[in-house]
Amino acid sequence: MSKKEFLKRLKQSLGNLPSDERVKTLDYYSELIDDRIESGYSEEAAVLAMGDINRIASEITADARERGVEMKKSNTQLKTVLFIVLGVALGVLLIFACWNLAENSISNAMDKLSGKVDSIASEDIHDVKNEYALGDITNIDIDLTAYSLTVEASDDDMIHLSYQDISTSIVNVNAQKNSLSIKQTVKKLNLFTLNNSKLLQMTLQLPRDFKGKLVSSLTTGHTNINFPEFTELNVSSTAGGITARNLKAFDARFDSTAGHITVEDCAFDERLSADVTAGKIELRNVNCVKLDLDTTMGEVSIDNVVADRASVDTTTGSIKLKGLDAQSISLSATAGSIKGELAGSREDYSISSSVSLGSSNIKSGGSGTRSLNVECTTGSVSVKFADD
Amino acid sequence: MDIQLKRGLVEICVLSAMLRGPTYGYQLIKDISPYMEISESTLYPILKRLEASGCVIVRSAEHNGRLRKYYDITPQGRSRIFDFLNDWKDIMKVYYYIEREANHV
Repeated sequence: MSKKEFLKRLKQSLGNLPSDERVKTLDYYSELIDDRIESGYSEEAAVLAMGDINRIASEITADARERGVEMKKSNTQLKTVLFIVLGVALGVLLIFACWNLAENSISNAMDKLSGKVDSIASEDIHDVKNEYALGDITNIDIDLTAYSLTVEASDDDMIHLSYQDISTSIVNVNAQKNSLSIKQTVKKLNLFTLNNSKLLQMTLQLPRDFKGKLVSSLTTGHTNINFPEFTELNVSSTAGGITARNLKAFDARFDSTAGHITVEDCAFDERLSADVTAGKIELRNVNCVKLDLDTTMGEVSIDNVVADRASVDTTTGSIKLKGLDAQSISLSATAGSIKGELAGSREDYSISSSVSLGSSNIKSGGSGTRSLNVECTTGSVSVKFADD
Repeated sequence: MDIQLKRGLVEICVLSAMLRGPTYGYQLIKDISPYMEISESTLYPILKRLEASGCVIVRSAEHNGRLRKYYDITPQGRSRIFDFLNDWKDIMKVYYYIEREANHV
């Protein structure tokens, strides 16, 4: 099993853990696998050394319970809605997959539906504004059930937090030593009696000289990040999308179950990884070392992206390329097509192409220094090279 | 070996492996495994517990273009080790008594 596959399966098995615990666990295993590979193990052997995924998951879940970690809130109504939405999506997917049409219709439907889920009665809402001294804060930890979140730069050297408060939930803000934690506890959230389709909003403004880590986990809303610099970003929006603009980070991980991920005008010193179940991933003007994009049913669009290693994986969506410049490229679309333009000329690449049913304009071979690996089962491949 | 006993022992072992300076997960496994069986999945909850109880502090640092977590022992962690050694002095006395008597029979 590859490291990627191992982490993917482990992540699925850790579904009950709160998102920050899950991220920490995945980071731990990722580090230990990398360390074994670095010391001479093959990837396969390094993964094997970690042991059985189900056992790992049950030990970690049991241990987290023992430490008093609250397992993921089971908000039954919300879950039901998400399950119905995903169920419908999967049904539609089965019908459309072969015709390679599913991606847009599903993700648009998702957006509409998740917008409806988030409605809160307007009379219950009042605005809250607070500010905090930056002090030694380098970690920001956010966990929200029914908010959309915007993170941006503040005009002074204070942290400003403003949000719409509702009587059925409590927002706990806790600034301790080097971390600021913002958590929403829902007392009672009756999603179906709400009559206004507006989403609750929270805005977090950070001083420009903040340079630290942001871990954020949203259940229904959209996450919007427009802040100059982070060390690490770990952002997940279960039923909403994620937009990141004009920022720099060492390492970023974006995760969404049913939303679009957009990354625009950003640079990452190491890795950018984006994972979507039912939605699009759009990248424009992005620079990073390692790029990892994964969607189950959504289109991936890459526009002016520079990376060292790029790996793009989609099950039913298509991959659209408007300029991807990387030394090592791996593109895989099971039921979608791969179209567009890569940097350099054909001679720059050694190509490995595996296309089963669709048509393809590239063949395996070549002895260039860049590597290009293309896999497609039912879709077609049409790749051009900028310098040809 | 009894599970509770082993758990306690591994914790002290992990702390001891940090006495020479900050170290990381895979190094801990390599250092400890000659003395007792330890795997990635047994180490993880132990590190979590040690961190939660203030015996260990964790920081991330860049290594070969990725992040690696480094674990360092705190004064509280050190005193855990010395408590352990003191407790075991008494236990070892009993152990040698039992061994002596058993060999006489």
